[in-house]
Amino acid sequence: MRIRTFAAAVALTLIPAAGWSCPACMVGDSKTASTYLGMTLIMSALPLLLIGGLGYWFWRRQP
Amino acid sequence: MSSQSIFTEPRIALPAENSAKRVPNSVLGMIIFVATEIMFFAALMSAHTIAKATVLGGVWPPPGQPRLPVERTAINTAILLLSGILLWIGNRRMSTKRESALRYVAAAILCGIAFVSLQGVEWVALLREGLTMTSSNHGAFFYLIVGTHALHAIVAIVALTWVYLRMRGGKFVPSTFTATQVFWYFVVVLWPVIYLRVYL
Repeated sequence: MRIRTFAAAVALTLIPAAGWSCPACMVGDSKTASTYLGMTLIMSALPLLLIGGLGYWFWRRQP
Repeated sequence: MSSQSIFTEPRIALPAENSAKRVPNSVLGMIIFVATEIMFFAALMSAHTIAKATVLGGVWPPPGQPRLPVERTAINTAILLLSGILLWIGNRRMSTKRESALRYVAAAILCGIAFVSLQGVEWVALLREGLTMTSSNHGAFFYLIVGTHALHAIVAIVALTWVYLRMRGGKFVPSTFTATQVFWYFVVVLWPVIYLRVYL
């Protein structure tokens, strides 16, 4: 039984469409996916840009 | 070394070019604070963007919810941008034409007050039309994002007014003025982003 469950779980990972049933994602379409991807990229890059920008500004101002 | 000698030692004078490049503590503190605020608003906008994209039926604002006043807010946006420009001109004139600079700063404050007042009028109208924090995701995000920005605008106006009154009283502290300006420019520059994302 355990082996069957495990095999079924592995098989599910081979079907990405099944991932659309994620309750947090609400709607499983390409627009939603691209929105999530875009926001993830922005939220990941923004702190790096802020810290990098501040560092660059300090570097430019050093005596 | 006695404790007295510590206090009587002359301060080390930096060369003029170095001291000009030094960033005052108040300005640095404000820049770091604004950076954290940018992340805060980015999180709100991110949540709003995802809610908008994942709304069932793909209709935003949701059916039955009032539309936001795009045209009136465009005028309000122009008023806030004008406020930022006036403050920038006031800062440029501060070292040469103090009286004129003060007038520009006062005008910038008045534009800020006009912006917040018009926002208040808009809110009252929207509440009457049925858009509340609990009416829908649309209302919740609108009041959360726009309200948080308005709160920042009010704090910035109070700070600018305090700095202005001090300057009028002959107590001009350049670093305090610069730090307040940084905060006001943040409020001004952030608004068009909110307008584009929330209203359009």
